[in-house]
Amino acid sequence: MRRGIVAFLLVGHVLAAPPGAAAREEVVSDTSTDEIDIKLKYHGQDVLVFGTIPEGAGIVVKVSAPPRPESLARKGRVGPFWMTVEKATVENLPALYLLHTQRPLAEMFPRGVPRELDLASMVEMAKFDSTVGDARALGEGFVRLKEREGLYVLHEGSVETKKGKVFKLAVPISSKVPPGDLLFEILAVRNGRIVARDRDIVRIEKVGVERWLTDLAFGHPPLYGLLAVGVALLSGFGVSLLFREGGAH
Amino acid sequence: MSVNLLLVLGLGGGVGFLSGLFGVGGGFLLTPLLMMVGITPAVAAATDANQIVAASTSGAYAHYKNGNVDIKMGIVLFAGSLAGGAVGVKLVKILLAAGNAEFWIKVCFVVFLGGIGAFMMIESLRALRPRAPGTAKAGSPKPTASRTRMAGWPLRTSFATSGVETSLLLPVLLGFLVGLLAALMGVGGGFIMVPALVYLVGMRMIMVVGTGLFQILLTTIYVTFLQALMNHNVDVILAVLLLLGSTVGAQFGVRMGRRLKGAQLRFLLAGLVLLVMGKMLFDLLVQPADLIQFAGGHS
Repeated sequence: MRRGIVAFLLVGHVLAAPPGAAAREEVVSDTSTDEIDIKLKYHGQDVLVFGTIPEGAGIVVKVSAPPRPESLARKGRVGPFWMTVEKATVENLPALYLLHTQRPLAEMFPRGVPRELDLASMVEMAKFDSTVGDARALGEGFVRLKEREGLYVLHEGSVETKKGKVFKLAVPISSKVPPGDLLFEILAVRNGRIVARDRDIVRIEKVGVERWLTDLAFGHPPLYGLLAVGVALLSGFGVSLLFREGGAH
Repeated sequence: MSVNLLLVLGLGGGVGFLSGLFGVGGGFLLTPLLMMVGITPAVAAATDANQIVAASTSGAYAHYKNGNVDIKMGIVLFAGSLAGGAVGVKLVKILLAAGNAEFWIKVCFVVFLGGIGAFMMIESLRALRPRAPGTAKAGSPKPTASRTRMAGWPLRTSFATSGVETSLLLPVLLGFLVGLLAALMGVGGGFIMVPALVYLVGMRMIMVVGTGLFQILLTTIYVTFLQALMNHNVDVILAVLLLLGSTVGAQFGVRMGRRLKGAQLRFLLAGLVLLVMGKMLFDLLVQPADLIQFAGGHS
């Protein structure tokens, strides 16, 4: 939180800068934290993002997590049955895609939303590990699944501003977001055009026991396997002993 | 991991109860349940196995104390299922290459479960009918036709703890079949093993439950280890939470099992098997809400 306060002071400093500097089209932004720690009791976390707004511009904040392979199944009719008729792995769609805007997108971009902010054009570019029959159906289905999980979201009007000079936004990061780097892109939009941008990175990392276990699982799989079996055997025995002594009959 | 703690404990408890009661692992219930609360399919399947190690330890130990585990039989079954599992994995690859494998596997499974469930249901109802008190032993069903036919098989071995004498080939084959199905369907196969031991080998229900748990213990130790080794899919923390619930649940299951007659247990298990079959059939016949889904299942 202290970092956040320092950053706010920094924003104030930029605002107080001489008019020559402010005339340049610039967004200066920062986030309340650089790192989200996944501990044993992790239920997601809010990240506050804030910054300056160029004169007369609107703000769009895009938060994304890098793509990772995710497998999809397409169900289809085989005789009287519904079965998986196609399996494919999406390779290049982001794991997380949150779009927060100050005003409705269509209003901010009256002549059309740029490709980088448009889910539909992202889906058109979807790449699969194998050749698929209907890439569009799979891509759109993927987006629906992500939307249902709350990992693809469009929030129009959620960016708050003060006197048109500074903005702030609290972005809830769900615990479903996998560890890795989150990219916060802040875009200043005027007359339907992106006039300035800034970016911040927030790293999601496992720490403590979670970190230790993950390192063990990938670094020393046999040890991890033995540990998993050992823990299970011990607790199984432990509980049976407990019950035997507890239930005197 | 971000799942509600109480929910996980409750899920573990319920599945542990069934496991202690019937001698089934409960993987066929827990994996889909875990997926429903938001665990990825691969992790759900692997963590399941780890959790069942704990539940079956707890259950098997309780049954062992009561003299209901035939260790020799358990090891023979396990040996068969190891071989079956290895062949099953190969078979899945071949079927997948040929296309439409999942469809046929599922259809076979529905037919299989439906047959076993219906048979067990009818048999247990007959045994429970009050007009024949004392004629049939409460613990074991009458020999079936197939059992009599198998009397001529070679390598007859006696399993002293269970008090049965049968061809060594039978449990090995049975284990092989269960291992094969486990690989094809990604389930432990306890609910196939249990009726088979009752009707084909002629063991007493309570002995089958204890021995089944022991065999499941061996199998899930093996699977947990393999999953950790090859797929890094086991979530120990999730497993610990589940097993806290399931070990306790298993104890209650074992106690409940002691109060019920063999035929009553078989009737309840038959109901459960038919329920699982019905759910599978439903999934096969009813159009899913969304035709695109995250691919589940086992790698």
